[in-house]
Amino acid sequence: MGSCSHCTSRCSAACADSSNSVGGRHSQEEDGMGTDGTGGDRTYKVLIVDDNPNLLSIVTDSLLELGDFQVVTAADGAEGLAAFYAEHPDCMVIDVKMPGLDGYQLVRAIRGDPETAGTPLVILTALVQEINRFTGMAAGVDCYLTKPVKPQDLVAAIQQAIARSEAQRRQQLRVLVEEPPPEA
Amino acid sequence: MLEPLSGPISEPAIVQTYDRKRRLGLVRVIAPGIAVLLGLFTVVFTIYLVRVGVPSSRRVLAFLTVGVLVACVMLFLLAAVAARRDRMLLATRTTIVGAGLTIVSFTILWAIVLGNGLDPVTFGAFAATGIAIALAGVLGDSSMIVFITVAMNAFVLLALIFTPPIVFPGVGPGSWQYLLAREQGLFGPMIVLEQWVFAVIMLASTASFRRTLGDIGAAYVQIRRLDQLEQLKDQFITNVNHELRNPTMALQGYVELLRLRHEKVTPSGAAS
Amino acid sequence: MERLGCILEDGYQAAKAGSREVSEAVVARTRYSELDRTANLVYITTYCGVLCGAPPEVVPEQATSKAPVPSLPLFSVKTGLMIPGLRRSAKATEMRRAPDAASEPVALIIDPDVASAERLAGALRTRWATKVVANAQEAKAALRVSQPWLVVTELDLPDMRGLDLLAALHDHPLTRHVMLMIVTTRRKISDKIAGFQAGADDYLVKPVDGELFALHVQVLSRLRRQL
Repeated sequence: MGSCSHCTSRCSAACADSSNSVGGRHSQEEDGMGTDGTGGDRTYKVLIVDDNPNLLSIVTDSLLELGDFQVVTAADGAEGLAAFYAEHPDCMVIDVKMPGLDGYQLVRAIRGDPETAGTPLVILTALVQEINRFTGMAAGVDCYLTKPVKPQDLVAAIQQAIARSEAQRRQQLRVLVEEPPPEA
Repeated sequence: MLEPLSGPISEPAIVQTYDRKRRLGLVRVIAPGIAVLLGLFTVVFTIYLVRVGVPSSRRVLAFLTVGVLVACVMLFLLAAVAARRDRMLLATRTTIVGAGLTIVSFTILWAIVLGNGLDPVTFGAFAATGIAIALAGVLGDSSMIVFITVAMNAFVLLALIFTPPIVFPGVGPGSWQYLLAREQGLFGPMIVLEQWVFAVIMLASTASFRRTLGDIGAAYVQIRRLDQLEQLKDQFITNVNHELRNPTMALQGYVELLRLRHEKVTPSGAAS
Repeated sequence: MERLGCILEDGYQAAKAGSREVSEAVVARTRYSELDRTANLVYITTYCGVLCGAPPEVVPEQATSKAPVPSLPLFSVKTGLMIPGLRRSAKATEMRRAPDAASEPVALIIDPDVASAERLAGALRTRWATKVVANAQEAKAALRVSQPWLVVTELDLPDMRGLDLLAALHDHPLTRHVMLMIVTTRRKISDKIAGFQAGADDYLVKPVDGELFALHVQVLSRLRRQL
């Protein structure tokens, strides 16, 4: 509990938390290795796309509280895509039910372009049915989270998404196609 | 989505099932209908033979023909029973065999027993009226079939009245026996029988076809309705989830954040 | 807080109102399984499943419970126009000729750059029968000949906007079931948004990796079975 005395103020909450993944991330930071191999304290820029303003505010606050994140928000699919090209975030957290571009369509738009296909993407949605999860994974996201989600779990998912490689993504798609899709 | 309830489903299997249903349905109507008609005719014919008398040289053949006609009635009844029990092969084959035997026996009857052979006019009458009714069945509906059959009946009867009589040897003119003894006495019922046999076949075929179409239509409507309901259900679940889970997450999230911030500040360590 | 409370209340009211529809759906589904008076009706309804736009199942050799969705050409020829209301749908089933075990589903690739189109066709060759055309006119001709289950189009076509072709396919009731993919050089945001709003299911930017393209197509056809 007291081993983190030399942390920055932002990390102290993470250390106080018992969640392993966040602690893991913290230790990575300590070793000076970010997941992309660069050294030092790296701030991840996360783009949150959701049409519900309450949700945007809670997720923003959670991320700022729990880790070294820089948060940008967007309120619908088209805005999200524009913000993606403007801000070049390290990770995106996308809601499904949005006006304009669907969450799935946004994911496909990003995954379809080889320049941007490597972006870590996380879906955070209220749709919990198996068929929705299958559709989301089939669109190509790295993590499919259902609301309500604990802030720590969201952070863990973001890190997991960032850590994924292109080969892993391809493999996931292959596996998804092999297995029979769930009944609605 | 809708899953098939049993067995592998492929196009040949479905066609087969429909075909089977259709053929059984047809036999269920045709076989009893023809059995009844043929039975009536056999009775009429036997009475005729008894009344008019048959030269002894042809008696055996006459008995044989009656016997074959009775056997055909039996075959059609057997087909009807088999159709009721879903034995499709037995039913359809028995009907076809019965029909063939009937035609053969009619030919023997006409050509040999009655002694005049099939003259072209008779043959033409048989064929033409049969074709007329078959056409009505293919192109029209039930009322058309019945109408054409009745019209053909009338045509045959009129022809009977106006064609010169062909006299069976041994009976003189002037008596009612003479009238009955004219071949046309048998010619009439025979052709009427043949016309109504055609009519029964066409009516059964049309009715069966329409019923099949009705089935398909009804099932289609059902499927559409089910799809609508399924969509409604999915929409509803989505909406409820959306309405309930978003605020829940906001609430839970803030509570969690408050807890974390509180832990930061509590006496476990000095605030950093 | 008060606002959240209102949202929760709305959700609860929606739940109460919607529960009737849910129970109707459940009841109808149960009643439907009792509809199976004879095996024949089951088979009819599977046929009618084609009318609802189920795409072809790319079938492995052994028949499993996911047997090939049967086609209805025999009945559509016979039923023709005889059932009112079934008229259009009968024609639809004629065109949505799902494959039997022998034939493969048809994919139509529209691209003026024939080399690229051929590469895509090659990636699909194992499970799809592909047809490559170079402009919208040829595409329309090909559509008249055989109904594809997948249409892959470039946006910059010489004689017509790819978007317009896509929108036409998406809106027309007889081709609503067709999977639509865009494979193009354009990568602007406005193009992507327009593409999805016109009805595309996927938007890929060239250069496209063959295996990835095949995966996307497979994923789409899996998804369409559910929708």
